[in-house]
Amino acid sequence: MEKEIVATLRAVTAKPDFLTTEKFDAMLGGWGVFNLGIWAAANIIAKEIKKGKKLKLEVSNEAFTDVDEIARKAVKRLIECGADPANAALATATLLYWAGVNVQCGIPCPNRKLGAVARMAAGIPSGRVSSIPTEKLNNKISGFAATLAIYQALEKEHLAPFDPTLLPLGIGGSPFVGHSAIGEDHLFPKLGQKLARIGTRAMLKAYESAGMRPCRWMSALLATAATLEIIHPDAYVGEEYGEFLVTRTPEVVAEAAVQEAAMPEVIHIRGTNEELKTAKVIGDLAIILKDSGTPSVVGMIMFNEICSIIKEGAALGVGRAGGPLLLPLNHWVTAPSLALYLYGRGATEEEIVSILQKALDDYFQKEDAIVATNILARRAEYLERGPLTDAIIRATEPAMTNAITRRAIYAYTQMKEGKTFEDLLRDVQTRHINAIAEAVAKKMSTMLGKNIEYIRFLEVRPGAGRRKHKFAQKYFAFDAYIDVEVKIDGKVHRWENLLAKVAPEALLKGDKETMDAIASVGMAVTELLNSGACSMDVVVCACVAAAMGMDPKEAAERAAEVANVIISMPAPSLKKATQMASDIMKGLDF
Amino acid sequence: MQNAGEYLKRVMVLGDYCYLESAKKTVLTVFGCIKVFLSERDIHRVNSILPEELQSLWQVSEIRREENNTSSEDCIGLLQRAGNYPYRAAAEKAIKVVFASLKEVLTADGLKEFVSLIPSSLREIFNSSGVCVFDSSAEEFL
Repeated sequence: MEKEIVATLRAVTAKPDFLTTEKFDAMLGGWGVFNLGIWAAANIIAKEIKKGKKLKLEVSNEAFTDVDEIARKAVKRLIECGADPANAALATATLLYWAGVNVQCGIPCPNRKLGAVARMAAGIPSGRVSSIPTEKLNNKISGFAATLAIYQALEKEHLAPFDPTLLPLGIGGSPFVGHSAIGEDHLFPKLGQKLARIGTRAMLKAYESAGMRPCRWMSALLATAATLEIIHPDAYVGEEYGEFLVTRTPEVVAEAAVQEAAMPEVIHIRGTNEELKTAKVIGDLAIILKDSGTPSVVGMIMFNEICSIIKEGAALGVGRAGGPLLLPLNHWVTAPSLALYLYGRGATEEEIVSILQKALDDYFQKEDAIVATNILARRAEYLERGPLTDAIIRATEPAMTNAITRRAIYAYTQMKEGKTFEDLLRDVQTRHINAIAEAVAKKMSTMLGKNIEYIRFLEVRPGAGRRKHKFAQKYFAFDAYIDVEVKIDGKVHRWENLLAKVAPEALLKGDKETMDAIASVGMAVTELLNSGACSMDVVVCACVAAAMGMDPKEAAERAAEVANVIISMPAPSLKKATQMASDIMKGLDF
Repeated sequence: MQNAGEYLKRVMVLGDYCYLESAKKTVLTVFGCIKVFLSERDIHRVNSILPEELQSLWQVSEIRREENNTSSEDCIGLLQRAGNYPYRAAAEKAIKVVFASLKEVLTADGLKEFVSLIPSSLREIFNSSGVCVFDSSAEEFL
């Protein structure tokens, strides 16, 4: 193999952040994001499982259990990796849940709840659902919408199924109500389901009013959590609602929320297709949310991303980095979360590798997703090595090596045959854009039930004219100009300056027909805007150019200038990579 | 237990399955895989110790020939392949669920005989298949 290709292969993978425009070290600081901490915490939990620690909340007669100990270790690591303590508590509880820990056990002593275990491990006060924000979907709301609606309903109507003034004196809080037919068969399930419906409707409405597409997942979750702040959250229920020792109030309450939010009754795990009852998952996670303190918006983003192992995630609003979109890498935790889920259930490393590879099929840009997952895993290993990153690196290394090598050979051959570096970059960028268009057209046809024959990007460049600043003229992500044509069910739509002109005009006019058509290309446009998440196409070309003798600084600058869609924002790591390629090339003596 | 449907509903609870069909598929695949490892005589013996309501499930359970083409494969491996379980532990869980359900419907003598007939590799799973439901509050009493 040519030295230039060898130098490129080694250079682009020398450091994990050479293949992205994102700043990995900044994912560890105090500004809030802490996804690398989640990778580390997941490895910690996996190592505790390997040691034989018991992942179960039990009614054992002891002050501290294995779960308490694991939670403390995970919380500590998350805080060291930049997480706010409340976010660390929520992430820990959620990871432990997906690893297989039950969310509650016992009545009355011990009465252990996973969210509270994690919160106490973090040493923080309890919170209230009204203070829990939703994930940021550009804007965000909070559980206050559900709480407000629930209390307004409690004030306006009588919601309990009986007149509580008739209850005998002195039995308030006693098993007379709580552990008998009055509470378990009537009060808790009937009141709980009413409140959950009210809360869910209020959340859905609040999302809409605040200019967001309603998130069914978060609406059901926070409404269920708000309801569980009012009704008994641990009670078993009458046989009509579920089996004794199996079904408790959270699942029953969540059933109503799930129906109100029009969620499917059954959801699935990515890569394995295992079936889960939606109401059970919502009930379990709602009780974690209720008990684990007051997370920030970033904490809720991470909570959702940990849960993005749910296959229906993209449609329901359960995280966004699990596919099909290639999101900024500070969102990505699906791989460690899924690996932990499997590890906790006894899957072997071979099996985890195979399932992770399958789960990566869900992305529009599979190769870029594989690279993104690999570089995050390798960066996370600086923080905490363990069985999960071992498996993730194994799952991604072969395809990543293949993807990089193919690109390096292509770039080298093209330039060797006389193509200029600039022409090569234009060619590579066009291929990248076309590949996105093709993949999105194919998958969106299935998702929307339409025949999207093609998506063609006619012009894609920085500088849509909304902003005058030269920075916006230079970098695609800050003022993207896009002309696109799409053929849907036989009809051709052609839009000029989609983001700055067509989409806002259609939306503000309430032009449903145009917006429905734009839905077919929306994800492709988002993929373009997020292109920098994996900058492999450009980095490889620039490194080959540097290895072939071009000044490394010039190679990086020219690449960023010409491939100004894929490098959608400034990328200091590109210069480091080209310098590395040049240095390696000079040192090769075979 | 009044009928096979009621039994399958219980399997659904024990395995935390979302559909009755999933419970039925589990029972039939586990039964079918166990049968592959039993002699004709032992297949009849298991049939005779099962409650009448379950005998038809045992009788109709069968692993298709193409799924049973690896002579060196153990029962769990065969189940993983035949039941399309994504990992071996998921197949083990399915066996555990079915064993737990049988512990609820077989007589003490029937259980003793059943465990003596099944492949030895499954006996450990049989012994640990007490409680499959997630809630652990009453586990030590069950």
